[in-house]
Amino acid sequence: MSENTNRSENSKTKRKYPFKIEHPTEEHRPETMINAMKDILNADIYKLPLSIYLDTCARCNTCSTTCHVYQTTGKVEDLPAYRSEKVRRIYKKYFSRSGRLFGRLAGAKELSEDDINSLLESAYRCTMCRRCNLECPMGVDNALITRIARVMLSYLNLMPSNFEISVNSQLEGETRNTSAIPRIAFLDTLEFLNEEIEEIVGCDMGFPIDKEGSEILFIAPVSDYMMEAETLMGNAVALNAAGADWTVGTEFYDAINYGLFYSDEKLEQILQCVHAEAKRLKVKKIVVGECGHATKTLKLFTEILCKDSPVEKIESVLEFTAHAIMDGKIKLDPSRVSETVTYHDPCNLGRMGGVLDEPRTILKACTDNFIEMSPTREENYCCGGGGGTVTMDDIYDFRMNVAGKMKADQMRSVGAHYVAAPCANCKKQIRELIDFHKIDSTVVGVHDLVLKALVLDDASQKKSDSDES
Amino acid sequence: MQGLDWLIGAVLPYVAAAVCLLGVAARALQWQFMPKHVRWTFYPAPQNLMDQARFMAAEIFTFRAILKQNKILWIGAWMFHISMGILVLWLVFMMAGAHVAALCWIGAILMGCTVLYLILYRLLQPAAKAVSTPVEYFNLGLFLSIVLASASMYFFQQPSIEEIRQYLLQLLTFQIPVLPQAPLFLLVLFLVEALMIYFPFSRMIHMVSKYFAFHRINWGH
Ligand code: SF4
Ligand code: SF4
Repeated sequence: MSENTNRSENSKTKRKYPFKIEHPTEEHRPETMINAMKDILNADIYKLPLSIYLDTCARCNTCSTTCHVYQTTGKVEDLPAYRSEKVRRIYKKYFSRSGRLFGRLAGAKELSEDDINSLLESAYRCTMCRRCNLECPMGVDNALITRIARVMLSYLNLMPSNFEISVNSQLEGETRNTSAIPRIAFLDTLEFLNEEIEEIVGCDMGFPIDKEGSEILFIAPVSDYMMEAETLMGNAVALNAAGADWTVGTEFYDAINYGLFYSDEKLEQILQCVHAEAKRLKVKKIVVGECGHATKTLKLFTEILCKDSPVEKIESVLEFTAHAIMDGKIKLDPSRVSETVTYHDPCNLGRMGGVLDEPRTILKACTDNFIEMSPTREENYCCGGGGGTVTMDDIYDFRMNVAGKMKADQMRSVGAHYVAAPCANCKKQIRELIDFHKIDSTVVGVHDLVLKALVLDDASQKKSDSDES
Repeated sequence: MQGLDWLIGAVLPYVAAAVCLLGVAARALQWQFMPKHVRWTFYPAPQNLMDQARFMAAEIFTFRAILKQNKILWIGAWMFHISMGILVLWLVFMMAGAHVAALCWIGAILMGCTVLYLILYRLLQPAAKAVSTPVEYFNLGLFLSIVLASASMYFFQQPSIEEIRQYLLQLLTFQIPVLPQAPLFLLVLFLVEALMIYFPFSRMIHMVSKYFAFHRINWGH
């Protein structure tokens, strides 16, 4: 990370790392990395993209013009193609014909300890936002190459400490979630939210719990239950107002999947947990709460990694609510939100998930004062905490001054009262940016505004009353 | 014909053509039949064939992205590719019996200048320099060497276009070819053959990979 970030040290070897790492492997690093690449190149899920991305970059740097990190620092180390070259060199040297024949001339070079260190540093200076893919004439996705680098590094246990702790807690801990919220506390929270909802909307529109045989399983990033009560209440009232047959599960209730940022193995295991919960509750559909990476992971990797899951459809709660609004099932009163509202497109939902129109449909129904950021939609800037970097407190400085700089400028120039960001990670980063850069805005979820603008007609109120009795 | 003449003039042309065509086909087939990868769509992807064609045409004929982001690089890169197009056009006309000298002149001068421009750009622009590997210079150098060898042949040995045309026609119709008089022709021929053999295994395969990167990855399966 940047020079002024804390450097954690491993006491035994005095090897320095750019951020805190729990159990770094110190021995046989190059061999392990090469084996890691071998595994990755053999994995079907990457074969086509990697064989193209590793072989055909034209070194034109067009991608650098759209990368917020490079645009902020202007350092060659932050050029997307420069970073990707570190991965390509390993590929060329050990796995390509030309590299074996022509060595250095073809860009191949023996993998050294220093190469591994510098790869680690770069891999976490990229927020995997894929904005660089906007203008690459060859269609190369440097974000995927960063992901590959991180997966390779994970073979050496080189991943941010928070990833490891959260994922262990989710997969091996008693609570089975990244925030280590015990089931009993989770139930308490649900009860609290249900009471709050009743107070706000005047009828029972809360969370159905463990309702076996429902059509929909609703699963949110667990951190929302601690940080984003309004968003969750908005999610619940939207699902209820639309008349959905839904439930939350209490055995596995965390949609967060940090595997996406560094490990295929963990990604798959976490995904399996979500699908096991869906199977237990016999649902046909999963609706994911406001979260970019969790939605993307479930939507993209299910068809490849969980082929036997009975779940037929996975969608973001934004898609659900937008369709319900368009079908006339949810009524919103735009006069209830009189402040200006702008929208931050989370990278994993927008250019990587195609959820571009839905949030706008919702927001325009919630307020008459919606304004777009510039640039927007698929061109919107990353919040600066993408790729899981938002969880890394030891690179706070980098997130505020480098990765989040463009976002901060963008928010300041649009000057909206609310910045709606339907993603747990984006919300945390944007909240910190607003504080750090002293921007006069408040970050909210899209469904926070749904909660404010929801209009219940007598019919739905009566229905919910009769359900109660 | 004997020795080198025979090898470069009568054998290698066929070898080079075969390697080039089969190599490109093999790589395209390999990409076409790779296993289903994780859905990695880049949104919003063009919905219909018309939009896809429009996007590709803009990319291929105007270098849309580079034009938008980096005019200085664009001038060199775009004109370099145009120069190749002009030379191919000249070759086709020439083979058909209509040698348009102007096309040959413009194409060759443009290629020489743009290759030099691109080499200088890579050497002098810090970001470009940082991402350039020896391969970039080698590829550009190969084109430069073809231009220089052709220019030397033209200025010092005054080759007969008709002889070259006859030679190429003989190759095409599988007759025993008669090499043109100009000795440097053999060098030019050899360099072009080397380029053809190298092409499918080089970065220049981006001509083909682009289709797969956009159609099969960015725009869905
Ligand atoms: S993925 Fe984002 S941060 Fe990474 S190189 Fe591309 S634009 Fe830059
Ligand atoms: S824009 Fe694409 S081809 Fe050009 S340097 Fe970046 S990744 Fe490579």
